[in-house]
Amino acid sequence: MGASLLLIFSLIAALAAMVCLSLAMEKHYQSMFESQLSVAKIRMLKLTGWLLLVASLGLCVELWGGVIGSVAWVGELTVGYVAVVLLLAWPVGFSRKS
Amino acid sequence: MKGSFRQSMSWLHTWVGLIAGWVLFFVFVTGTASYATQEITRWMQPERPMQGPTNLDIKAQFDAAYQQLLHDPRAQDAQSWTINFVSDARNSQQLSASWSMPAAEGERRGRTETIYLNHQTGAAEPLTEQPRETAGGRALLRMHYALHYIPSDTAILIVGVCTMLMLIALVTGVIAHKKILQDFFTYRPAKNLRSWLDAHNVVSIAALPFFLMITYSGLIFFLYTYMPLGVPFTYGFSEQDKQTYYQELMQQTGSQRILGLGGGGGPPRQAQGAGERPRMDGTTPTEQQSQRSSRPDQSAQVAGSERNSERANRSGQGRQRSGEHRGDGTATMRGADGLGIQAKRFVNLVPLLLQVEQQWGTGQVRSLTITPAVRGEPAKIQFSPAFSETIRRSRGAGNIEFNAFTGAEIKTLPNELAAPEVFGSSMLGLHEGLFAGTAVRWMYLISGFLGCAMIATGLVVWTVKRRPKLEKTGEYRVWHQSVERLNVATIAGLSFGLACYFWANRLIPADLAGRQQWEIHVMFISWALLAAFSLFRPVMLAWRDSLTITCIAFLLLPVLNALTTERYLLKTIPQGDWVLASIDLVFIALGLMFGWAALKVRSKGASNQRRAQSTQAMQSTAGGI
Repeated sequence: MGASLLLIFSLIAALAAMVCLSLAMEKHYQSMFESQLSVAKIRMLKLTGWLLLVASLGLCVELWGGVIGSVAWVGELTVGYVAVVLLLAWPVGFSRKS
Repeated sequence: MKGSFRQSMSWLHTWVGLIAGWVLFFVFVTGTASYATQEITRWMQPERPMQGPTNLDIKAQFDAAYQQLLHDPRAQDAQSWTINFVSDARNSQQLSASWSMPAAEGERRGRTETIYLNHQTGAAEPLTEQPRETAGGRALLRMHYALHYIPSDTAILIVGVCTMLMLIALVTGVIAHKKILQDFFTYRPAKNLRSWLDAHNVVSIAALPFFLMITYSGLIFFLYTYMPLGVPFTYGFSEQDKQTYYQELMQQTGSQRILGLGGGGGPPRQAQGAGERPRMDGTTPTEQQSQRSSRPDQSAQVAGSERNSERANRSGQGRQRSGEHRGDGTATMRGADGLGIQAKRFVNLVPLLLQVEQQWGTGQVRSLTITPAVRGEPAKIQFSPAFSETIRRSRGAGNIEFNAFTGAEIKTLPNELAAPEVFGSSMLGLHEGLFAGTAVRWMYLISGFLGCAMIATGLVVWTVKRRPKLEKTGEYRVWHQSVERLNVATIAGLSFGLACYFWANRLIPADLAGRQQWEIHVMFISWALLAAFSLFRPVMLAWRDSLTITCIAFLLLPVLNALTTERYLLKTIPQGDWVLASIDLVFIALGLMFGWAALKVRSKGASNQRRAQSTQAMQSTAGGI
């Protein structure tokens, strides 16, 4: 896999992880979807989120090696986190009521 | 300060943040820009060639550049020859051949001259104009720890105190944040104080690891300045005692460069000139680099010349260990053939180059440097990689070196490093981020930007939280108002000053003497003007107008660039010089951000006015009835 592909995939994984972890919280889930958030769903989302975090770390280590990779991973988490916060605060959600 | 532990921490966070906030904002803005030091300097020297991808393989590049060095009469007695290849390294998409002359009497370092080569044909491309003198990115780099207009000793202390306060503010901030997990992803827009608090929380959480690292490591840089008595109390107060300490430290930790003690290693050199300060006082290598590149001939190829001097330092260190004193360049060259003559006895260097390229991969050989035989040591050819495998600040690590007469590889055993040395140099390396390639560098820039946002939102929260209460009790007076005005003056003012710094670079005549200093003066003068302007305006109007002006200043920068140079977006993007283009693009992004903020303030001001009018109307109707 090429370097830029690895980078893109690890960024996507970090972003997707943040999406999952945020949707595992009642209020954010409600702001996106009509349906109820069940315990099973929470477990599912949290598990997926953490797995994606590990995946993104793995891709970073693959790309940059252990030391620089983990630094880069923290940077990717920052980027993914900010993107998700902005996404959640965006005036028009998928089923935003107001 | 009263109440629960959390309330106490919240109190501490509030006041520590307010006291240090303005200085820290300056430190963070200039510090963030410093992650693009070389890139900014290149933007500020539009005479330098554009960079881009190449069609030439590394052998063709080598042949073209090496011929220049072999045949240029000026290069024959040089102290070193360097070829910079088009590589994946930072600022390294420009083929060039350069040489460093021995230092003349009374100078610390000789001149470096560079020939740029066309990266499509390999032909030499003389510059039509000398790059203008500019304060460049390195002035911003220096300001972020040494400020400006005040003695650097004092400045370093001020910044140090503020940094310590920031470390306190970070830790207390996390404790004071009641719902850090529940509100982890929460930003609630258009809710006044709630929104400001959310924004402050979110940007602070976003890059918290970065903030902790950057404040903590920032303190390590000047640890001997901040804790001046540790060494003297154990070793004694004289200069000799200090040297003893450093000698022991190096032997026991395997350190090549002592924390905060620049240079390539070896015991700290005595001050060589009247204006020169010894390095152990906490002057950082970064500053050395910036001093180095402040000469116009060197700043033309900052990256390359930095590397060269690093290498020179490293080889100097080798000699030192074997018990010889490092002389100046002239002494080193005495009694040996010039590099040009020695080169006739070199083995064919191409196979060595290809061997290294095969080991590292295409585009991963950043540069090579050839040094002549001196004092029993053979002539050497050293290759530097375009990538870094460590975050530690250990320059020259990963280089491969050969004997240029025999072609045999010279293996140097890596030093055994003690754990504290590994930790210390890793923290410094993390702070500077010199190991970062393009992607990681952008992450550094984003994290730094979030730091600026954290400080700015924190300062605003302080005023937004207090103002309604104070207005109710009629205590909204000078003290609170001056905090509000200082916020405008610092946040919008500095941003405007920064934009004007770049304006000055394009508008001050390229041949004006001392123009670097004027670029910096313009930055501070325009900052002062905007600050003064906002001091005498109602605070919302001050915000709106100064943000609008800042927006315009940034948005017009790419236009100004197009009018005054040949390095504007329509030229840089087709050429594939994305580094240069991204500077203009960041200006546009910053302009849009300030414009958006100005619009927000405008609509906020309008709604405040409506509310005030309707309250007034209600009151008058009520009075009428």
